[in-house]
Amino acid sequence: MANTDRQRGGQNNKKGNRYEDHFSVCRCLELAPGVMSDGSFVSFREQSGCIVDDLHIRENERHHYYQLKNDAGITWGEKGGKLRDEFAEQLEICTAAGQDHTLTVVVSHADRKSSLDTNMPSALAKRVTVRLFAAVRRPSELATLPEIREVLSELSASRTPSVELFSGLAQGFHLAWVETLPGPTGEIDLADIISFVRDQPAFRLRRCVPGTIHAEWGSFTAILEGIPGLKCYTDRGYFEWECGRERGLFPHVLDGQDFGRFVDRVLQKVPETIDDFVGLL
Amino acid sequence: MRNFVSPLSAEVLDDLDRLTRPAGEVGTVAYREAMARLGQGFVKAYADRLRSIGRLLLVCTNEDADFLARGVLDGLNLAAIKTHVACFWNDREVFAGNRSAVTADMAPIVRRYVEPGEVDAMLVVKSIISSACVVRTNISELIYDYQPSRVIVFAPVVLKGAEGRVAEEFDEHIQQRFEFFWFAEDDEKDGDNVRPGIGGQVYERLGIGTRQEKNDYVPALVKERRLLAQ
Repeated sequence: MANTDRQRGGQNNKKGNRYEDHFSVCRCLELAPGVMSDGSFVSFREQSGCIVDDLHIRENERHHYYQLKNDAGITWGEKGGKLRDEFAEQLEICTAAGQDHTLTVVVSHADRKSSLDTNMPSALAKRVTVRLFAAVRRPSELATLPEIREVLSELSASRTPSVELFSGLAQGFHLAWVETLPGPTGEIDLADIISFVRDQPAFRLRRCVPGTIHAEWGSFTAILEGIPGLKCYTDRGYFEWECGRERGLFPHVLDGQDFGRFVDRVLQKVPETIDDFVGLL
Repeated sequence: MRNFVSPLSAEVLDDLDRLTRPAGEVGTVAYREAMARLGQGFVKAYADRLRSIGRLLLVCTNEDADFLARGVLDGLNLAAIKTHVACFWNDREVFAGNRSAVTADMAPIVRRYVEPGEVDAMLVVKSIISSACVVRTNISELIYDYQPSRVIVFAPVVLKGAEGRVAEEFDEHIQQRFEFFWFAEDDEKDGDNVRPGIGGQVYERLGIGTRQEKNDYVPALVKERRLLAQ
């Protein structure tokens, strides 16, 4: 389904801070929970050589095609109906191939979404979606987009994540998007991006709880349960705690040496108050 | 080159100079006292402005809490300005890409102490603002929940351009809430340190350890206020 004449350098075009990069990072974030929880296969490819080719995402057997227009004046009819014709041609190709697919125009201006929705050519109606994705100046701003707050919450290592944690995730996925090399087919596997982010605890991406955290885990939790007001959580793969006006997220993974040493300190000192406890962090 | 805001009292100028002198000349205790006096000096200079705003949320890092922030808080108490306190323990992480110029410059919050309550303004104090990453992070942690009408940022010393680096992270409607105050502005940086700045890494000069150790420090300010809340 690739049209090599249309290829414009593929991954070599990646600059890092383009509208296209930010949208791709947004889609990485949106699709990451599926890869992390049920092992879905998701791959990304830019300038794939298809007709609608700014971004091509393969999600298991389903193909998603995106054309991105960070352009305040885009219409279906401009440049002799280029946008309309490209989507019509891609629709025809996908339909003929019996491919499970979606086709999306992504625009950065609300009035363009409204215009493209209102003036959608009848042949494309109900087959093409127009998505509004506001341009951001830097990846950390993705953390403030309402449409991905829920997914950022799901991905966060914290049960009560804030914009600061969301920003860390967005920056981590952005760096991973730019740094991850495509495979031999030109596709970037989302699992590789997730691994990149997960390898740096500072990005605080949710992890699986290891089968064994510490040999004396039961004694450790029993000691903490004895501290008035202290609540602790490990269900997101990090040690998180709260007590009244204070809370924290241990900055190292549960099965790492740093956290192991913290558990050892607690077992040795047996803190009885929040003051004792925080002194051991 | 260093620029000063004017007018500055002789006491503030002396303390700014004290911060720049080597540890052999100005020891930990004198350094801590100078920071606290600069905090008090800020409130003294701008008490009327601060009083007119209403309820404040004083935001600081754990390394500044017992010194610069304590001085500010003492000054606010003297001026009878009702103040809540928020304290953050930040790590610092910079990840640079190998294949691109992309970096992730972060100050992850590993721990926080935040007093609840309605506030009209955030008063963010920091011993020095250079990259502004820590200040931006801590503001963004609170601003969307508290929605203060003003965000006042005070640092005794800043690296030139700090105001822009703090504000750039935020939308224009939030940027309009910012007010910046500083005593001295430097335009030279040597590695991580602003020159003359505050004489090196603040946690080391304050005697609370290295960058790796400083987050073990639990400010007396937090302990006291935690007790008061019980």
